[in-house]
Amino acid sequence: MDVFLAQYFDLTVIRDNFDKVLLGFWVTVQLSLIAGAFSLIWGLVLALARTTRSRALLPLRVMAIGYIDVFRGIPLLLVVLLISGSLPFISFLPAWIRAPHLFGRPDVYWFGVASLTITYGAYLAEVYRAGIEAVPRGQTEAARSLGMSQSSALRHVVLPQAVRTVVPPLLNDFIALMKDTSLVQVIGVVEVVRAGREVQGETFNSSALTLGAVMFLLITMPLARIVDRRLNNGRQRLSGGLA
Amino acid sequence: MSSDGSGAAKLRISGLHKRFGELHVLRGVDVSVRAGAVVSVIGPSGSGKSTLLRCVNRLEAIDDGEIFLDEKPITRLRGAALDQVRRRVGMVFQHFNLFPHRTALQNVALPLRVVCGMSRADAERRARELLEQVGLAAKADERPERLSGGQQQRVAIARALAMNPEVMLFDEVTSALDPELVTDVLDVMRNLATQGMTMLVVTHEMSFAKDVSDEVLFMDHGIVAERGAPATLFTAPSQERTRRFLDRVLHP
Repeated sequence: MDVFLAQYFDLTVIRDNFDKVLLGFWVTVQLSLIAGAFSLIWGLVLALARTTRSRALLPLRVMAIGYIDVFRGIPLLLVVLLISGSLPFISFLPAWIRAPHLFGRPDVYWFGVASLTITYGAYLAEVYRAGIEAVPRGQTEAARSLGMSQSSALRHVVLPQAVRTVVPPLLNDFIALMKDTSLVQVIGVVEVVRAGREVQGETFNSSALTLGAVMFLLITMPLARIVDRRLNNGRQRLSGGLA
Repeated sequence: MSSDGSGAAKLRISGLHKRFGELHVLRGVDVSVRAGAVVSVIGPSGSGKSTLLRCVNRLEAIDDGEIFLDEKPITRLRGAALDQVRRRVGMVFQHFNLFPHRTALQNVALPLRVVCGMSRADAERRARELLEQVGLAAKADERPERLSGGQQQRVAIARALAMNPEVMLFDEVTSALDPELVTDVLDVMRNLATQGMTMLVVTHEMSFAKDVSDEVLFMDHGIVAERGAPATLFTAPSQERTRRFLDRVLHP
């Protein structure tokens, strides 16, 4: 039992490396928030393209379906490697894509953000789509019958309702995204898992990784509770509405 | 008082056909509604009454025939021109279709802001007037889920009126209501009729059709089987199937 405690909960290791792990976790949080925000926007764009009924936009719709199928179907790690390994060598791309050094962050940082956005955009598109399709057709019909254009009806009537219903699954996907930022370490981003691993390599002790796990939980557990509460409220409202 | 085209028709439907796949729902329907007239459409379910209304403001695509508003064809309008026509033709639905994420007041104010470009303050002032008109000023800040069916339907009527429509379409607006809530909604409709609104009303409320309409159409299997003044059609229908239908609904 002592060996177990010493391996995972060595307070000296934790104290000595607290700053380093915290710094890594700060990178994790940054990646999550930046990629999360981009994914929210990119996913919505994809979902709108995916659900359009306009015949003129059919090519866009087909492209969106293809994109979503591809990036839901391959591992994030693969996307990370594909992007970071070859983008710098594709000479006709502008420099800010081949070697992005924006806001004082290294290129691997932005490659990580891009990979997460590409993959989670596809996931979130499907979440949004479910929400859009769950809005009853009568809502659009009521809006159109008042003279609203298709886009006004979408913006003022359909999307506000759709987004409301998908907040819990969006939060779930944010939790997943946050955990998946750890994959970005393979291209050299020192986020919390990488920081913990470096300490593990130096000390032959896993306590720094335990510390990283605790930091994750401090964010993800309250989020999971919020998701639960929102789902319960939604159910109560629904049954109340039927009574 | 008749649909034979005498006087200027506010709304005219001519030779309307609608198919849902194999199903031929409307098989050549002609209707004419004079300005200020109330025309009720009755008939068994599945006879195409609702589809007829939904074709008028083009919520359903039309397969054949023409629809005229002020004798101008609107059948092939698209985009902004179609939106413009829909402003002029208000519609009230069986299931209200209020926007559940907005209060009664916002339900009425939203189209005023989005479609008419009013400021929030102006839109809300106008919305309050309209809610007052349907007797719901006190419920302005309630969400639809907190309103009874009859109240929701009256908000829906106020919302349609917000666009200052020249014609109102009512699609079985009391069918989803508890019996004791029907009266309030019908009263609002009666008021509208009295004020001279042009109305095309699909309904199962025979007393409303009888008292308020200038003309009643009996639809069966996608055609207008019989039409006439309510006094005639309800007391001395000329067609056997009209008689059978009226027998069933008036003396169940």
